[in-house]
Amino acid sequence: MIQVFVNSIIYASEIAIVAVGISLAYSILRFANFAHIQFAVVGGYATYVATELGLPLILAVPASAVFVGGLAVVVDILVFSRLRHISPEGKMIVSWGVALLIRAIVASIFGGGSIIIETNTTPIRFAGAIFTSLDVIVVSATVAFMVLLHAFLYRTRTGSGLRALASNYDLAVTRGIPGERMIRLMWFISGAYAAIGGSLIALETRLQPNMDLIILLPVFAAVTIGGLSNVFGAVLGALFLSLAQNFIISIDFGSLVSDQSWFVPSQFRDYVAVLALVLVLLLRPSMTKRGAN
Amino acid sequence: MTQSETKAPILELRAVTAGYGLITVLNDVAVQLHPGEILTILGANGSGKSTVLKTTAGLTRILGGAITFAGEDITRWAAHRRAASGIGYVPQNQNVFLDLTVADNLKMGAFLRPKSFDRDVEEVYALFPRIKEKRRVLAGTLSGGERRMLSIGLTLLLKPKVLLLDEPSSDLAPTMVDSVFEAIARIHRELSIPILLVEQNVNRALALADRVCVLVRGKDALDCKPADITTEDLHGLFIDGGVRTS
Repeated sequence: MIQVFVNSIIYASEIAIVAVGISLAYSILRFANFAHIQFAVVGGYATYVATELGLPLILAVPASAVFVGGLAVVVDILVFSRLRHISPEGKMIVSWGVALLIRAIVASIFGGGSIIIETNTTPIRFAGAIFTSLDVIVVSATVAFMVLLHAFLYRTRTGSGLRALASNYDLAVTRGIPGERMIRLMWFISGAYAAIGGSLIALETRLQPNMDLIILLPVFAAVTIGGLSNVFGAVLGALFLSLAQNFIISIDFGSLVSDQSWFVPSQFRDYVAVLALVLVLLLRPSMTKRGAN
Repeated sequence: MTQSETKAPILELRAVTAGYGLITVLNDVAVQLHPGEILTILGANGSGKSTVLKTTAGLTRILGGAITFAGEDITRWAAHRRAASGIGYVPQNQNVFLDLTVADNLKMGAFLRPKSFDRDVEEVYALFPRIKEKRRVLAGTLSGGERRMLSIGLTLLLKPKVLLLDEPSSDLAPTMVDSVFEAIARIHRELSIPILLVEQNVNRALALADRVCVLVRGKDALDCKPADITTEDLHGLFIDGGVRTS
């Protein structure tokens, strides 16, 4: 059981750090940015390229974060900034288009094969659970970046300005808060966090062009459970989801009804995400309504 | 008042055409606000009077004409730059940050002037003692009247050179209307800020205003002193405009 809990924490960390960027963008611009998943994928590949160029991981991941943060700003300048006044549904569809374009570019550069970023990890045995030194880094990096984001949003003047824009855009800009400049900053943070998340996922598993499909559902489910525009709700959403997914596939349902053991195949893990999402939406309709205001 | 008419206007809209997206709401509207005066814009629902204020604050698409403020052409300025130059806009609806505390709302109002916040906020508290009592609660839990006071208060923290007030009396209990209008009169008297006021409450607005202009279907139709205006004038204008006065 402790092992399942540990696995859940690790998986939740990877999902959460990607998910916060979607919430951040949604909170101000009110649309679900599907290209965000691609930012995470590009982040993973950028970290790989940086390590190939000889950078140690501790520098490769920040370099990737800056690169993808910049990419997110460029995408905003080229695409989303021109569509500020169209409907959220329209922006969402356009973000799909952006996602597919980025996907095609990544595949054309790196090919379809999977790439493993070499790391030295040592297994750690603690309180009956087994994990690696990399897992420790993934979880502590996520916690550190969440604390940093919270401090930025709640302790700095610029962060307060972002929260004001998220709360009431027109009121915020007529208070003198520079909306467009702040949106650029928001995109940079969002892209950088996606890159960090994508890099951590790439380190834990491997880089492949379809890793977007693997993380798409859990990330969006986490964001939706968290209430869409609530940045730290997305973190809780990721934790809840991860626990649900890992516990469901670890329960021996077979032994409950017969003497043969039967587990939910782990391929169904994502459908557990959908099921958890539906249950939460049915039971807590107010959570999602808040974001729609 | 004769004095104010001789001075150059601090805010002027010249032949402004503006709207939202593809919809045009204002056509060739001209408004002049002089230093020290209260100018009231009257008009029926949908006449575009709120859009005049939004256009001045920088929240609409301006398709033609020009806006000058304190001697500068601000027609192409973004909303935040207009606020920084001294345009204080109090919206009719969604005029506070609902999910922030009252104190944080006031801090947002002072976004451009964080250093003098502690001193400035006391002036707002002096004007609206109730806001001080409620400073730790979420703005979303305030009553309609308290919300209106907060929205005026957080706008004053900008140290505006003009105030744009959009229907400050709407959806308020009569006693609240009294105190909101008293506060507006006091702000005008003590801080001598010129005010562009949009109102549906005709009698209240006429009592407070130095001048009145009436907007009918996005075009200004009348510009004279409140004492000159008769109920028949207004009635005629609203009917001629084909807009119900209710």
